[in-house]
Amino acid sequence: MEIEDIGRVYHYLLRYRSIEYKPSTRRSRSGESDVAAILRGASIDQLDRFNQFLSPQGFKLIEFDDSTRGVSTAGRVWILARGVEADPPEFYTTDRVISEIRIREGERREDVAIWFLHIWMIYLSLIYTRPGRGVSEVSGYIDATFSREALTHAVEEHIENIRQMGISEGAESKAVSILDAEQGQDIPRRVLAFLTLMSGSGLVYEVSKDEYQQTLLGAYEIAESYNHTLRVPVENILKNVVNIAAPSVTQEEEMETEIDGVN
Amino acid sequence: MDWPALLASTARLLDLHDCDRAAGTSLYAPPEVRPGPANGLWLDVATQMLQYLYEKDLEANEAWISLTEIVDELVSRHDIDEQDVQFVTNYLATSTRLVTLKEGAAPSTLNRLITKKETSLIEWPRNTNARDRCRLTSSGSRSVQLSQAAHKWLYADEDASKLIKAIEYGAFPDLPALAEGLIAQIRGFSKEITILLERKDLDELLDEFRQRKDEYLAVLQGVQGSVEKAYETFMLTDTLSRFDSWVDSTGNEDITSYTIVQSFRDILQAIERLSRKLQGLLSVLVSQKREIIGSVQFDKAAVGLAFYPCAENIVELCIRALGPWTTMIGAPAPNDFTGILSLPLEEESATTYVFEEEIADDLPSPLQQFLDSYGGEISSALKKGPVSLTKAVENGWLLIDGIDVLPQLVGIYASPDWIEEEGSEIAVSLLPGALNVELPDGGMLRGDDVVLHLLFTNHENKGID
Repeated sequence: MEIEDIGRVYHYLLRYRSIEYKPSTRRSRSGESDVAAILRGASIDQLDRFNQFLSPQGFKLIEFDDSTRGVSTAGRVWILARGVEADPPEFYTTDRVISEIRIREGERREDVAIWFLHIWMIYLSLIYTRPGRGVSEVSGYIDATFSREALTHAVEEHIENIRQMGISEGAESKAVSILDAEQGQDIPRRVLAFLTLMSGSGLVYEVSKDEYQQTLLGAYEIAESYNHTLRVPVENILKNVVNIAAPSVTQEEEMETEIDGVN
Repeated sequence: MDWPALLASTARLLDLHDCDRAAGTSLYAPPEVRPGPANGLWLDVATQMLQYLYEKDLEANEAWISLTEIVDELVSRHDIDEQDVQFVTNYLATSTRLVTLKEGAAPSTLNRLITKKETSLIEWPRNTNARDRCRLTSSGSRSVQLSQAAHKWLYADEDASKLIKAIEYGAFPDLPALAEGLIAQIRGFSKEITILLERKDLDELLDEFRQRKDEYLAVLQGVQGSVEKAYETFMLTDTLSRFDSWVDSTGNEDITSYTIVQSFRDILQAIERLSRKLQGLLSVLVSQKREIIGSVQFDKAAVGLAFYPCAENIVELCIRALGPWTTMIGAPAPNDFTGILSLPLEEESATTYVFEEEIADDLPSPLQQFLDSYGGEISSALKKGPVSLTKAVENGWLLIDGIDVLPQLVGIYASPDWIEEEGSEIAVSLLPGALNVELPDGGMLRGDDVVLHLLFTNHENKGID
């Protein structure tokens, strides 16, 4: 793995976040087979050195082989995952989250962030909570499929649920009023923007028109970083606020076998 | 005994066999109607009966087996009488008619295959009315064996040793299937490890791993040893000459020594990856560190966060660490700019282009490089028989030092005179629609396959007329 190879692979990863040898569900992207060939030909030492190069930037290269669900036989997947040890580099930005989710002039950054957070949580409930999938279950990414319509509907249900509950004593009205102010096609537009952002970052993959699936990168990152990030607000709210009404959705029945007494 | 697994794998197939929908009619969901109280009673009586007969048959060696003992046992196990057991044994002894389709001798034809006799699982003594003794038919024995089939890693060693046996017996066509089966087992075990590393509430399985870890490692080493031994055995001069004789006698073109060797390498690579994964799991077991995050109520948390929002900086932190991100600066590849370069010479340019007249013609052309690398191999292959483009791709004549030479390979098929030798002539034929081969980069070549034939070598006609 020469210096120019490292440059080529690094550039490709910054752009697409993952490299797949023998992709199972899509055609190879332009140049993907070249960078996959470089990584396949790299020794363990060379990959270690590449990871040493990535580490100070807050990234790491993770390899998956065909013992991972969804990776084709003899195939390989490499992802550029964010680590928790180092800060990301200066060129790293999440500003587009705000600019894409903002659908009206003058919307405050904080308000837009609330919209993103809620769509994000409902997205996570769709692919983790409802099917009873644990956050650590990376290999469940292959089953984490959903349509744009399903996510839009779930977000609409969530907002309607909040409206119906109303502000109780001790609750804050700020976020509720931001969410309650949605009208017309606001939710479909924000959900589309959310999915565009997630696809662009390699966290979800558009399998076909308006049909999506979580990527291996998306599943790996949340399994690795959940404890240092979302766990704080999520556990805090679930532990301390006891009177949250159960969401209207019901958990899917995933029981493989039912055992009951016969005699 | 894993009867549910056996039944689950065939239930829908039998439903479809009995399906009364006519082709071309409207769609409908399978009618989930199964007559009977669905209490599992008759199935239990049947499986107990089969298992009993199977165990007894191991001792009796196909002699008739008395039913007295099992009838007593079943009558005490369930609230049933002797006649009920008789009903089940009759049921198992009655054959039913199954229709499947199989490829006919002529191309694109399908013939009906009727299976009836094999569907009875037990049989009574012939030419008598005796119903107090019976035995399993071969289908009955197979059903019990299938219910016992456990593709557990602990038995993988035995499967790996079959590779050596197959080589010793000269059963070369079995090798790819055995290799694939072994790789599937390795992959299956690897997936089990992944599940253990990812899922909560699997303490029982983890304990089994803890207890059996030495056995698992021993099996891993055993499998590796067997595959290496099989590889060495296959590479012996004696084996290779037996293999060549087998190829010559059967005319088999699908299995080459290269594909067999590649199968061994694939298994060894899979073993190496499994070994790394197993070590990872063992280190987790030893250190007792198994941080697994189970199901999280994100939907409930979202409702809570609407009424009791967290600090804005926490939201920002979460998005920054886990949300979508982009680079602040563009990082285009050099080729990305190609389209915006303007190349026409300005009308009043002060610059005059000067072209070097010397052309570096000492470097071999790509075609010459291709011929130097693979010309000899192609010629040798042609002397043994026709060589299709599909076969050429399978032989790997596509890369030289990592550079794609597919255009040069196709060029040879367009102008085969590049590889003609004195006294020989190469003809080209087409197999319509036969080309359907995957390239190493995942691309596909489809269409008419092109086949090269060597017509004359030393004035002997060895090819097509």
